Amino acid sequence: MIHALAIIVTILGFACLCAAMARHRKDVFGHILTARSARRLRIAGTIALLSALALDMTCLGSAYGAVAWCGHLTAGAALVLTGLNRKAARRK
Amino acid sequence: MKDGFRQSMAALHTWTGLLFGWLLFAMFVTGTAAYFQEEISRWMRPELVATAPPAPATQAAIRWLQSTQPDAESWFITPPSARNPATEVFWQPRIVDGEPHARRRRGDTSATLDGDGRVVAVRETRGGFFLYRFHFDLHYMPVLWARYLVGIAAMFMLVAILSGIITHKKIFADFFMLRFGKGQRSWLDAHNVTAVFALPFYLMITYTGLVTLATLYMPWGITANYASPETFFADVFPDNAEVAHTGVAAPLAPVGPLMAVAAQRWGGAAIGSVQIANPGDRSATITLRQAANSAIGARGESLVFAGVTGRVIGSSASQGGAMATQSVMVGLHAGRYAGWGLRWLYFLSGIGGTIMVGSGLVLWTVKRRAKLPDPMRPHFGFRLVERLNIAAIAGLPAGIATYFLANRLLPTGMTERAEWEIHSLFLTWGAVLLWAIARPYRRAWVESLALTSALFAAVPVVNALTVPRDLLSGLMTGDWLFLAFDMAMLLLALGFGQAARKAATVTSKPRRRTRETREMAAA
Repeated sequence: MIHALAIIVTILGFACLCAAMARHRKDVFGHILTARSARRLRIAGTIALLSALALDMTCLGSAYGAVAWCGHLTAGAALVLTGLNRKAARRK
Repeated sequence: MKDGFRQSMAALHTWTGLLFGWLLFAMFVTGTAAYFQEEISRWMRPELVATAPPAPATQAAIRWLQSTQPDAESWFITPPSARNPATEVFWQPRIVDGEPHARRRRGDTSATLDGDGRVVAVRETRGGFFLYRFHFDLHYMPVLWARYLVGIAAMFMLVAILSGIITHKKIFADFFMLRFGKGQRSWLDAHNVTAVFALPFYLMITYTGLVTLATLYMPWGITANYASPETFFADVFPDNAEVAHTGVAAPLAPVGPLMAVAAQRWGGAAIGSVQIANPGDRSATITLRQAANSAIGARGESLVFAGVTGRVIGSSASQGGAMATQSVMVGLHAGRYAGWGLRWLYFLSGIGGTIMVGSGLVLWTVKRRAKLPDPMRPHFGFRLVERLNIAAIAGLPAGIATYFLANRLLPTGMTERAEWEIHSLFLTWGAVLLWAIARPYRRAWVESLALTSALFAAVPVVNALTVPRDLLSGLMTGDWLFLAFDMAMLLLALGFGQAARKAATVTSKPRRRTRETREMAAA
């Protein structure tokens, strides 16, 4: 179940990074963010992705965990993209 | 200057991608399926149900080999594991001087046994193993040619990945960019997104794929230092060395205690294979090898015992840095070490790669269609790419679905049954190619995709009609493998059905040249 947990953390991370991007901000929040909160989101997102790596490496071992992390990043990014498209489609 | 560089990279990406795109697509499809080759093989041999503990099953297999193949040069036993419930054995018959080399069929030197050492009557099939072998050995051609061809394709893939990274330029800015219903822009988005999301995987899989066959592609290191390749391999794998046959008969020590010794030495790791050289002779040796799932490195540890006394007489040489690196790279590529979670991640990344190559192929035509002098009558090269795209993208999956169907429908007693399963794959693939050539372009897409969808949807139905292990009984008895296989087939059917629907509804009216299309023409 460590996989599910790690994917959730990468989803959080990518969601923050995505929300910090000018292009997608409106889709996520429905309004524009200040530069300062965008910066905070970026930092939070990066920390989340790195903590997923830490989680993977602690629970699965450093080698296996690092490989699994790459997979978790892929899965997390794909799921955030799916969510984003659904949100954008509903807004239209 | 910088733009000139990027443009030349874009051209390199386009043409390296196109030239080997169809082969790479086939390699991605079958290679991705190969992550579940054991599971596919189990589905294709539904007769195998019960599993047994490895040590008694191995001992039972040895008893069977002693009574049926006492004179073999060596026996090779794969004990039952979590992924394969049966004991697989094969043997190398002793070559007697002066006797002509008999051409043997696979079934003549191998058998599938149950836990009590009885032959299980399984249908003749090459199962998931065929899909695995196809992704680097292809079929209907000499293996060596195929491996060179596949190696060139992989090299082109590496070039396409690197030039693609340079061409893409907005990897982070366009990270989440996927817009639907915008024609060429949508295809480019899909290509970019699938490429970027699993980029580490593609780089790893392409590079390590080349490494698996590196001594074939770059033999010069060996030829410079060794008189013959055999001496090199004997040096590198001393645990494989041949032992002289003495001709003095002696009984074999029981294998169970040896397996316990090995497991204890390896910290409880499972035994992946048992190899017995010169069985029944005083010089017999028993080599135990660690199961592939115990470490990332593909070349697990091994332990050699004297066959008669059961004393440890050797073990895998400690690997040098280069060997260990190669072993881990091959392990990373094949993913045999991966547990369920990671295996699925491998599989999904493989699907991502398949979509990346497929969308890249389609993009080539979409991008050029708008610029054709007469869109109603495109030139030959364009038509060729169009038709080959249909044949590759819809044809191979249709072939694989047929391979599964043939496994259930061909009579079990048929001669060369396993070969005909494989022929059926290529017959369907060829039929789709002919269909793609014969029909109008858009109809060909819709019909081929719909056919693929129908074939995948037929798999669970035909399975339920021919084999007692179907979706409903699977739900009730918790037969997870069959349940998951049926679900996967239905999902594939749904995916291809959706693609056919999209292809049918899309309108291809010439679009105005907007800022976006100009941007893309430059990319």
